[in-house]
Amino acid sequence: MMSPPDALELARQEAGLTQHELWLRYFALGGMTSALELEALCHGALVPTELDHDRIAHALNERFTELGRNHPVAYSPDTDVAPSSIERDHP
Amino acid sequence: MTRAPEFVGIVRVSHGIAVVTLVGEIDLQTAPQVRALLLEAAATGARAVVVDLALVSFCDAGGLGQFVASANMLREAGSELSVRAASEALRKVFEITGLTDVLHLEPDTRVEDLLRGDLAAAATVPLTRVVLDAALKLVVVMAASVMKGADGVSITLPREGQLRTVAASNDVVLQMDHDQYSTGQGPCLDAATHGEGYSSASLKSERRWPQFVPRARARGIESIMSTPLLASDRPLGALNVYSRAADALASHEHAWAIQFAQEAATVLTAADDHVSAGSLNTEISDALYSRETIALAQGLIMARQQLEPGAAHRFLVDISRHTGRPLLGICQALVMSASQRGGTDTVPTGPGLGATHDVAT
Repeated sequence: MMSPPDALELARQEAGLTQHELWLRYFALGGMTSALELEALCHGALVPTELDHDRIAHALNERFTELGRNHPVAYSPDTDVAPSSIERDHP
Repeated sequence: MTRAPEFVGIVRVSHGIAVVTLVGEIDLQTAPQVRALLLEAAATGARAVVVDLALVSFCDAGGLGQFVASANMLREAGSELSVRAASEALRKVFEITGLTDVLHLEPDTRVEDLLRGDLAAAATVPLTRVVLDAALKLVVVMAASVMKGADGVSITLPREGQLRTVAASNDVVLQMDHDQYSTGQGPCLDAATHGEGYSSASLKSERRWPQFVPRARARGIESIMSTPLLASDRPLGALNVYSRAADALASHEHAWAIQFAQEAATVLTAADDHVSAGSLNTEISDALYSRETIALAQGLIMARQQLEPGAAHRFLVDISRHTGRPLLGICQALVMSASQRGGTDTVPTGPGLGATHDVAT
């Protein structure tokens, strides 16, 4: 099922984080975009790179983990591997 | 409430080597999982299996038994089992039990040696402006370690009305910057002032900076590249890369320089937005510390598993997801583990973390 373009924004609201709190968490994980750009990414007005999407998703998921929920925000497909499953580099 | 698993293992095959990353404690209960993971790694047909123990805090006799059995099995199958990033305590256990006769203990990577001083510094939490300077120092150390053609990297910023070198990977680089400040010419001044990149593939034929170039060549530098740090196209400073060889800074190094300059500009812009009464507030200070620690851990993973930055970051996020532990906690454990495995005597010479070097322009 396709995620709505503002899925990250909906997740932010559900996680109970302000825009600034989310940006701070995202920045702490190594995020490169400004608070304003992050807001645009969450609303779907800009398209994040896979790495940026995963940073935002992880910032949200760490908050959800604090709330007792298990990583409800989807990561990009490449990242979606199970523990102990085998990843291979392309030759 | 979701309960995080106490033990997680990830098998990753790269360049014909299967790396098994174990996270948690290896005891009677988890030993069968270790065995299954090692069998899984062996079954990939990789020519060698490496077990990364940086995130293993404890290993009992059951776990050791699994290593011995697996090492014997792999040897019979014609491949090797080696162990990397074990803590001092685990290494001692391996030595006392004679496991080093059947297991190869891998030495640390070059990047770990390069980062050693920063790893030790990151283990203690510096505050306010020091965190910012430490973050910038980390950028130059990381840049110097990943850019193959670079013999040194520095960052120039205006501070209190003067251009200063706020981070340098070694003393020669620092002197190169000083030569530019004192002669009033050079690529770092031009990049920091005009907001454009300046480079010279061979200083031998360089005519733009007649007073600076002879000094640079006297220090053995033959090529140079300065990339502006930009915030909304406004120059904040410059990232400077020097090499002892002509034509050593190719397009690969240019791409890296832009990426590291962007990282430095991001950190500076964020810090600028969170300064009050001349010092950084606690929330951005904590965020910078987290960012720095994650970057260090990412550097370690890039070196150990030969991954690109994005892939190394995803690998760490994956461990965080599957253990339910925060990414910062995972990275702190990796950095602590690496910093405790060596002394600080392998630190490259150069200014310490957070050192600021004033030179009048």
